[in-house]
Amino acid sequence: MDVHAEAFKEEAYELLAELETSLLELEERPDDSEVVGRVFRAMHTIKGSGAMFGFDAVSEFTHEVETAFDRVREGFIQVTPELISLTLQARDKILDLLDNGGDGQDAEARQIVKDFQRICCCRESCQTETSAPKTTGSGPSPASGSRTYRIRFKPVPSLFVSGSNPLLLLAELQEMGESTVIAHLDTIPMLDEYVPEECYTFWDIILTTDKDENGIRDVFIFVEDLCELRIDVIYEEGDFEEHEEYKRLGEILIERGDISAEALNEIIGQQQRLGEKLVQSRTVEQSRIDAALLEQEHIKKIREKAQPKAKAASSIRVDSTRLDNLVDLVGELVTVQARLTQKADGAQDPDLLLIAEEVERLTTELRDNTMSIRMLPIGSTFSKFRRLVRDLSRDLGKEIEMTTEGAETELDKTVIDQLNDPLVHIIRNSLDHGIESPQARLAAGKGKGGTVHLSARHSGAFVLIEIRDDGAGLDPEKLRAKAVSKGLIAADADLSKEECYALILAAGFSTAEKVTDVSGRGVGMDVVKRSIDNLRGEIGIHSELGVGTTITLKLPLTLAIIDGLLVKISADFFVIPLSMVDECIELTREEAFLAKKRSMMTFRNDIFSYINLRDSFAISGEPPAIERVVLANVKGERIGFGVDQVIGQHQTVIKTLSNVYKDVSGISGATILGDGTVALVLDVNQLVQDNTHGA
Amino acid sequence: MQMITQGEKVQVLLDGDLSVANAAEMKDVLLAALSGTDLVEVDLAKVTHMDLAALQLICSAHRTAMTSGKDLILTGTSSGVLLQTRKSAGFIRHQGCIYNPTKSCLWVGGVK
Amino acid sequence: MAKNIITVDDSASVRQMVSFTLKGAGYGVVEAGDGKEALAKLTGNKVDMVITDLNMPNMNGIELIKALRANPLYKFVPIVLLTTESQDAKKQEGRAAGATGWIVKPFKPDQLLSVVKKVLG
Repeated sequence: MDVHAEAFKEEAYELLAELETSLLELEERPDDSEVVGRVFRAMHTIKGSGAMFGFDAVSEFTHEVETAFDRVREGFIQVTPELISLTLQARDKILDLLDNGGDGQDAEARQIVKDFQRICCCRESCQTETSAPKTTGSGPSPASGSRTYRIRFKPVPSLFVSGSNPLLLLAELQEMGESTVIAHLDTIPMLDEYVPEECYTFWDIILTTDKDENGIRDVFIFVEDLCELRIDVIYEEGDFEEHEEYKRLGEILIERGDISAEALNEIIGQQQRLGEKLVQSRTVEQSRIDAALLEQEHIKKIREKAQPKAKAASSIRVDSTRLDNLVDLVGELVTVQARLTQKADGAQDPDLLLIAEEVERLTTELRDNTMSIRMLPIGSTFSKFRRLVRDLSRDLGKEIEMTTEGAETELDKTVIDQLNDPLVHIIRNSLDHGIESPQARLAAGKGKGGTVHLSARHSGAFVLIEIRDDGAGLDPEKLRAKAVSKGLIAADADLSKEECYALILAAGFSTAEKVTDVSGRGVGMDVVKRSIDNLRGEIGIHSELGVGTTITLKLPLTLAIIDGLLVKISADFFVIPLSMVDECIELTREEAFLAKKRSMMTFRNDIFSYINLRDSFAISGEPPAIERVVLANVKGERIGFGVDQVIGQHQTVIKTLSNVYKDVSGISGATILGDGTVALVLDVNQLVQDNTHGA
Repeated sequence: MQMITQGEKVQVLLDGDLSVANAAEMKDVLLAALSGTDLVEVDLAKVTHMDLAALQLICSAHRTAMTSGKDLILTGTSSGVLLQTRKSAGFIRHQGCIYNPTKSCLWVGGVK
Repeated sequence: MAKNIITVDDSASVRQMVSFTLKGAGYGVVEAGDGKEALAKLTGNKVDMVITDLNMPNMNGIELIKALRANPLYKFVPIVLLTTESQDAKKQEGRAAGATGWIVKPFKPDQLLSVVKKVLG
């Protein structure tokens, strides 16, 4: 406990002792206003200081007693024996709260508070304190972007008598940003009429700041009643194009109310500079024109400042097909480079080898650079959903807020483009089926408003996109029952919680009791799954009943070029994405036979699913004496893929298969090897799925 | 605060903290100075601090001098106290005072 | 030149906190337990700012402000009133008596300092 809190406790003990004496005195002389005052002050001090030093419970509780004695002091209620014994009881409670802590919400405390409220209320109509606690000196809330304000501050003549110093207020404003202060001196009288203690000056302040209007008003909080204050936004960042002129002198003057439009038009008819004309005609005082001119100058300065910033962030727009071409060319180059390396390795020419290595290095760099050009932050996609959430939640009569995180996370443009529809679908689902109506939420003891949280982050060669809602969550039993009734699974199927969640991704599954406008229009989450599969991504679902659902999309950073592991079965080459590979092991023919028979294998005392690719692709020929197994991590599960030979790492430029082969399961693309042969890129997820279903 | 008569001109020496608290005294001194002569020189060399009341008062004195065909000038302003106060109070003019026939103003220029 | 502030409050712990905070920020501080004591401690001495509680024995905050404003020496000195939020009417009364501003209890040291900066510089 800090020293201040300790000091407060000491003081409170003294006050409570004194309070006891005062109360007993009051019992003898109920009309002694001096004693009443003493009781009130003791309570007041305990309340005020208690709150300052962290004794909130003490402070809140004491507030009730203080209120009662304030009424006594003002003559609204009488001192009665009941009041005194109640106050004594309260005094003991305060002592208890001081010594033992507690929140002051126990039955005894509540009863005392209730009794006090009854005493206060039955004597007069209940007055509720409505004045909200005013923040004093707290920082103003930041507004987005910087704005330029015109502030007219016109204090009353008697300002100085309140001890206020207007220069300090101006200094405070000047600290808030770029400012121009113009004093209006027209009202300063001649010396013989001059009252030394009066404030004659008033000001126009042009302030460019990122604070909002309340932040500016806060500066004048103590002089609110001692001045005229007018705050107008005159310029917002990006308000007008750089070549456009700022408001003309006459416009500024009219806006400020320094001159009427009619008077201005009359004068403009004459041939002279407007400023001079206005002064000559005595329509407007010189200082007001000066102020308007300074405003023009200030804005000019602000705009000049903003311009170099815009230049620094210069960029060029390129048609995305050109980028696609570039990526294709880099792909070709990577292929050629692989051939060169292969040739150089065989030629045993050190010079050639050196060149091949150099080319390889440059190619890798060129590849990474090209890929990074295609990378876009996902933020723009996120912000599109903000509107969607707003509109949908209104349609649904729900209060839903969307929060985002990691908007700066970069993803390949193609991935982002193809991600839009699945995300829309998932968010709609969250809004429609996930988050409950305000009534249901309140009934469940949650806040009225729900939240959908979108986040994106990098994880190795992947980007994880999470859509989290704090809605009702998925009910595995309900999902199961539905799947059974739709004939998607057998009635006695033994499914884990995760497997139940995954049911929503199955074709022909919809959890909504009735089809709504928002989601569940026949197309289910299976569409989402297909899109994500196309992106070689994965979908993870976590949910807790009553707490919410999280859907995680794991997506590859890029689609065009990946690092792969090249394997061989008979004469055919295949590529397994390296990011999924854990390790490679060997099996003897006998072990391989057993593994094949059981679709299962053991390694280091662990049991994995085993898939023989030779069988999966029905490749004929004799398997080798020693079979290789590539252990891959598929959705957190380790699975062994039996192949003949592991060749090694390969930079894989993925070529999409033509439409004819689009429906071939287990293959996601092809690539050309250094010597011109074709290798197929495995769709590992699909393979696993096919095999478990087949089993 | 004191007043020294030097031939044609009267010098007003101001010192210390010029604020609303001693504005009444300052007004009396300036009034007395202006009544005696055509040229008043207000010396601010020993002024350590000024507030708005002091600035206003000097402005009024200058205005008064001008309208009665007299002149009031400021000296000893190199300490920066005046300039500092003018800046924070926005006593900055582009053109002279319309009340003065010569349009001269203490607050034109001098501020960078 | 360090500026001097007098803090007037019947709660020793509040005085201690105010005084500790202000001294830490380089101000000179004088403490007084009520309005009477404050006037006695001032007696013609220059002070740059007054921070006073509202409810105090002997002489309360409003009476103290009135007394100070009646003295030419303290006529323009910034005076800040410590109030609780339920005392809006008191705030007005304080303003009428000549208070410069107010701080709502409970307050944090940095809130205190920002108010001092606002009225004293």
